[in-house]
Amino acid sequence: MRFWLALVCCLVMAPFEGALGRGPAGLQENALHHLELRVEGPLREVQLSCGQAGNTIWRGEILAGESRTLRLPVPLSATRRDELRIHADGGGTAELVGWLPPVKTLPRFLQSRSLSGPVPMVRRLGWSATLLLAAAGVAVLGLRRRPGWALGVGCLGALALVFCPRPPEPGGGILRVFEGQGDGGAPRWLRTDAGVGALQVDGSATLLRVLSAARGQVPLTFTVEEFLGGEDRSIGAVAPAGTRLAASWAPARSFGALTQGVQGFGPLEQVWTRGVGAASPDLWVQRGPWALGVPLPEVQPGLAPPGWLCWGLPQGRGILLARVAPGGPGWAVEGAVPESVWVRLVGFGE
Amino acid sequence: MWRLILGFIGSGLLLLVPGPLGALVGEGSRLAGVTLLWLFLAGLPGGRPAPAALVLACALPCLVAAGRLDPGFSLRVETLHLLLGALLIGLLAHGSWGAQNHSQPDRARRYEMAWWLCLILPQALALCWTFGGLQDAPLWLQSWVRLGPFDPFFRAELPTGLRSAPLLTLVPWLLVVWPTGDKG
Repeated sequence: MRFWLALVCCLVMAPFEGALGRGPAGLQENALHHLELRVEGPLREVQLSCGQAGNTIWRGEILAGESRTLRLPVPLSATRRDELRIHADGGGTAELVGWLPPVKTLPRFLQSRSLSGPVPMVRRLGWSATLLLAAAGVAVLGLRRRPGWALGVGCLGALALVFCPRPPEPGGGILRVFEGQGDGGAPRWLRTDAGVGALQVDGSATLLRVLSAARGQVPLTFTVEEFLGGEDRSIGAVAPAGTRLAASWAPARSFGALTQGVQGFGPLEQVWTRGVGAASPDLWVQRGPWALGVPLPEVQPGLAPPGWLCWGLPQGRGILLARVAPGGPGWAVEGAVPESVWVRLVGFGE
Repeated sequence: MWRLILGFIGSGLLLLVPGPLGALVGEGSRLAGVTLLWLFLAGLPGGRPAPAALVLACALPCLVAAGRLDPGFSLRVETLHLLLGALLIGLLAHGSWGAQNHSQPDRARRYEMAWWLCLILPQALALCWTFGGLQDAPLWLQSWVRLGPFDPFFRAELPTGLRSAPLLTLVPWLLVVWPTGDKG
């Protein structure tokens, strides 16, 4: 009887669990919104608390009597404006003007492209913790005929593991991808930076995606430091450790031609193509390194491109994938030195 | 005994082996993987289950060690998950031990049905959901799947609060396994 009661309870509670649970993670949705704030000095810091979505911290210097309108990134859209709380530090005031109209989110050609982001570094248990765990295991198994004693030893082992020093936090690198789409003319380029836990985002970025398949809202903290009042600023985006983030924006610099006949983009360490030349249109072929100023190298035997790079690309188009050689485009730009730089161009050779 | 040894071997593999095997349970959710392993072993019907205290004594150090490897979750959330996992493991070990060590066929049968319906079936569905794309299933089915204790364990990351399925899973388990009327 109790079993059936439990089953009924289980089924009855199911819809409530759905209601209690948080909504979908909103993967691949844009988490970067902008608002305008009217501030009057003196001010040193403004905090925008966005509830579960995170917060934004602006630091700068606004003198007494000075009045300005700040354009700040927030992880919250205008539809949830009720969750916004503004706190000004320094004696002045800060007042919401309004959200800026949402920019066109994901460019159409980027929507179908995959981006796994850099793989977080693997954490290690550490020798001391491993030995402690092994010792606890042996001791507990040795006391298996005295469960009470065994439980005591197990709890002690667990407690010792809690206080055992932790190995240093591994840091993740930045993965950079230049996404190109050529539709007859010169390709349109977008730069995407992906990082783990934290990312320095260009001030002109309009798109920030959370790539990790986490449940629920991922809280994001944006930090804007602006001491000279310049518009050329970057945004620090921080998420819980292990969360993979990707920000995209149109790069300020222009790139050289990247066609079958000539290579003006930069030194490419490894190149793969599909649907280009006489090679089979459905197969990826490796072409090895491609130096500046020379035509596309011939097909050579080799491995397929990384799966995350070629997944979801359109069929029937000429595609070039490449890993940029150190020192090439993307390596020398401002910000953290990337772990690797890639090029993904659709419409190559058409 | 073999359950405990298997538990230690499995936990060791999940904790010490990086790469695909270690990451099998998701990015960094070793705590979830180790909890899942001990839940399986602790509650498995049949055989000669060990007393709940002994199972917990083995599982607790493994859970704490796994918690050290999970990035990005506060001590509060980690502790809550650890306590919840330990509670479920203890409950299942107690149920399995009770069902096997008392000659009450009805109780053993009820335990086995609870095992299949409240644990294994939702868990299998959660697995399909995560890896097979059950997102298109009807909402009531998705909700039921999420009611199982294992759904979060197959997610890439742990949920960030207590408002998740394992807590609710306790309710049917308490009703089924808690020895309110049975001896032992």
